Amino acid sequence: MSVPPQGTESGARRSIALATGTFHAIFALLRSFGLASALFLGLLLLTYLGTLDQIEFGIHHAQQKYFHAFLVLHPVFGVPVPLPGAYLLMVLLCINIALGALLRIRKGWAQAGMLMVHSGILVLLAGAFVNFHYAFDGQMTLHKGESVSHFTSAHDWEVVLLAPDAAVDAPSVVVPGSAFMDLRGAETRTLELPNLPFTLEFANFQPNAALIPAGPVVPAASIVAGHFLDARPEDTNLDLNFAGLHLRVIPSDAGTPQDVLVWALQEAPANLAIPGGTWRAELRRQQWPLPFSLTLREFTREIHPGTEMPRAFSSVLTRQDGDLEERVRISMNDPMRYKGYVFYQSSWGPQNAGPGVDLYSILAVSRNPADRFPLYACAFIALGMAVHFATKLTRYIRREAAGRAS
Amino acid sequence: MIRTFCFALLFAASIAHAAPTPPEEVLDAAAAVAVQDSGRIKPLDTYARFTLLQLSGRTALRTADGGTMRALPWLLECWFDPSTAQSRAVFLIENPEIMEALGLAHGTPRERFPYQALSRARAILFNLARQYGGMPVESRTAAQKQTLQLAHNVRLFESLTRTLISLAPDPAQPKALHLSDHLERAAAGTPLDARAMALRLAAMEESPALALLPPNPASAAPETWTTPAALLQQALAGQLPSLHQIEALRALENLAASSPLTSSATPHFLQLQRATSEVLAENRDYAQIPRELFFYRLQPFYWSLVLYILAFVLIAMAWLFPPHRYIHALALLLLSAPLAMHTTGIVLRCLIRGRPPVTTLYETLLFVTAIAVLVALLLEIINRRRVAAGAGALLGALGLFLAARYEAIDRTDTMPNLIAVLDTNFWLSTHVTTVTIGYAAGLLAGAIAHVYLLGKTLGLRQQDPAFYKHLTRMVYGVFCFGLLFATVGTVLGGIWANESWGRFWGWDPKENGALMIVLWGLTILHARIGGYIRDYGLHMAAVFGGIIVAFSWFGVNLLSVGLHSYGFTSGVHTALSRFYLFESAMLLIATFGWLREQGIIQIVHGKK
Repeated sequence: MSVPPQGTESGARRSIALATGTFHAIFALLRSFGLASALFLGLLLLTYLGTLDQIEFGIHHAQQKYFHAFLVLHPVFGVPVPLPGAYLLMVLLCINIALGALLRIRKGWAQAGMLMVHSGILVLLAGAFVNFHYAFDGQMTLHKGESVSHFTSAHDWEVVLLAPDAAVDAPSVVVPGSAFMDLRGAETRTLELPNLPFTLEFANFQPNAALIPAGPVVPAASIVAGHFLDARPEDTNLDLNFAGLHLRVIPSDAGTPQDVLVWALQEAPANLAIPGGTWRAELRRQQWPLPFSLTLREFTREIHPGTEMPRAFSSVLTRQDGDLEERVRISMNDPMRYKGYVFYQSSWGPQNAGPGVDLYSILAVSRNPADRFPLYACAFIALGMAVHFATKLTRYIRREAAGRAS
Repeated sequence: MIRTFCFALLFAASIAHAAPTPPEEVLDAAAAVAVQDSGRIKPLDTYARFTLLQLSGRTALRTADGGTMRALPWLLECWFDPSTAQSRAVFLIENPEIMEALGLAHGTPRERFPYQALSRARAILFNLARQYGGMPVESRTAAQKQTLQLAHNVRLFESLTRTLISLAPDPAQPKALHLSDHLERAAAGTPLDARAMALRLAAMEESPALALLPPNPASAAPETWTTPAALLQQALAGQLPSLHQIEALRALENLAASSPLTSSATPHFLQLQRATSEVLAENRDYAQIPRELFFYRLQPFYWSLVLYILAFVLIAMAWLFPPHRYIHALALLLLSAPLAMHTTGIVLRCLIRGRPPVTTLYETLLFVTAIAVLVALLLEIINRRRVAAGAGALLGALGLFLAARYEAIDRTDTMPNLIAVLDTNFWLSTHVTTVTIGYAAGLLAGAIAHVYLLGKTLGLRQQDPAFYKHLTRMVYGVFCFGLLFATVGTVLGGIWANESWGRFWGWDPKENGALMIVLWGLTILHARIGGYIRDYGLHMAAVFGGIIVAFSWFGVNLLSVGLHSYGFTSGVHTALSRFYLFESAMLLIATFGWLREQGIIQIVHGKK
């Protein structure tokens, strides 16, 4: 019988004990009330900072910087201080709830309410996760009589390439914004496109810019065909931002690369001279096709009599889905839900229209697989709280009765 | 020189102020006349009240002889006796810069001026207003905004004084036909004398802004009320008035020929009421006029405020006596009386507008206060230590005082129409009500926590630990109650947003404010269960919770971003800053008390 060396065994035990100890310590931390309090406090601080940030930079900026991020660099007296972002805190919160409030808690009728409340919160957070990663939203502008079967993003852009013989509304290639929207200044990214006679290189994406003739002080590198993209401060109203992008087309047959600037307000797509024909390129707000079309029949805006204050506004539309044609109405607080898409009456224009001018309708469109999660979560949380209070109350009444009896 | 002139004016004004007021009979008939203002049909009495408030910052005038003049007699004076009305100091200017710019002699930085004084500087005022009006709204300074408002008020006053002038019979042609006669003939088929009527219209130029004539249901704008000049203009364009409109116009002409100082005006006001009642028999707002008149006559919030103050003083006195059944009952009664009056006021407002209790920021003040007092009353029934009753009475008085101040700062009708997105009774009654109940509980918990913290810091009732245990239990209970409502209310708000705008959560400032209350509540709840904070920490957390509630309720509105931001004024900013400062000082003092209790700081009493 062989006996393993004494020292090695105790060393192994010690390291196992250490590992188990560390694991337990981490586990205990992850499920602790202390972590829960710290996470709530952290979220509170981020919410406050993110609210103040909106005054100067607008809501979109605050969302990106504080709430959609893993890590935040928050300036304190000009020095960026790293803080955990709301995304990270919410992931930790999910772990904390799952380990602490669902696994650790004693299972019994007395805890039923609290179990439900915490499960409801998890559903809410799951909804937030699905919404963040899988939902998208945009808007649709409809003039009277016009039929539209796509909607556009407010903040994402795409580059559209048209083959020499393609019609303007039938793009050959669509490059999503994720390929270039993070490129600033001289940073470049090359995109190989299968089956195309050229390669694209992107640089200098400007979220809001003007394309203007170059003057003497403009650096030569950013001038293309006598013009350059003049960066403008981003407007908090996203509709007023007009992006610009530097495109370089490198023909596959090693011909001369060609530079063009594309800009959201260009009247016509930019021409790309490629051997074999002229392609065209355009920068536009990202579009999503819809599996049906909407036609605006009538937009009505009611105002409180004798004032300019809107009382109600609504759009009457025809929805054409294959052969099925239906008349639908969308008004404030009464959206249309159809095939996973939701359409809301969000605005109208032109804002300063005089009497008799036909108004156009602006609908906000969203597609969110977790659209109904908050509703279920809220019902669950409210029910859980009611159960919790009912159990507490029964216990209290029993105790009081017992106290009186003794 | 200007100063002498102003004194002379004031002297002249003081003589004019002795003018007699109309008999009650005339005032009653006039009060119930319906008008359309800001898209809503309301009694003339309400219109007068808020117009005077807008101009002078008060709902009743103080006359030079020390008396008071209510809003309606003042409005009638503007109609019937413009020259006296012009001599009354009604235009409140709260900025010496503006007085200097207009060359107005003044003694204090906040003063009321008569129209006569302002009319000399009219050209300068309107010139400035034109300049400021052309500037972007966000870049206007406070003084510039106030100048614009003053110019607007001057125009409004001028139009009020012209209400009846164009309708009075021409003394040169006493037998000439009235406008109503011409229109009646036209309605019967006789064409209008276009030239004479156009001349008449030119004389009526700059017609009054107040729409006193009911709408014509057959016209293109069947809900919009109108003025005599607009009626004539439409008639010239081929759109003849309805018989009710002619009848109402005739009532105005009769009024123009009478005096409100005798009861002879009464039948004409009644005639005006009759002319509108038939057209508006089905109208909801119109049917509420008697109730609205009753509401403003009752002044429920004013009397509740008085009773809350009285209740607080008496309950505070009762603290000196040992607990007794009768004293407990008295405390409950003292708090119930103003709460009943307060609730009556809120219910009347709901009935008048056909809406849930909270639709505007002003109404949140009324509702949150009522809920805080109600919860305090329930606590008092359970706990019987007169702390909750005292805190309730104090919060009641404070809340209604702030509501009255807010009304005086905001100076607009507190029962306005709502913009389209808010006009939904379902969400207003669920989301808004629950969130505001959360505010109320958060503030009440903070208020009771002050008693604990001050008591501990000052070393009061050290021999009675049970007293402090009770306070802790109360604060914890109210805190959890508030957290429950704040959480459900916030999630409901998200669901409303999801129904109306397509996103559950958008990190809008008002949403964030509500979320901050919830997060703070959750932090404290978990920290307490985990044993990280004890009694002292809980009470300090409740006070800090009050600060967060104030930030969420009013603070975020001052940021002026997002979907929920309302119109706002600097007065609210000052009040809020003072509240933050006071509560921060409270927390500092409490920290000191805690350090002493822990034995970290020791205070040496007396000499060794």
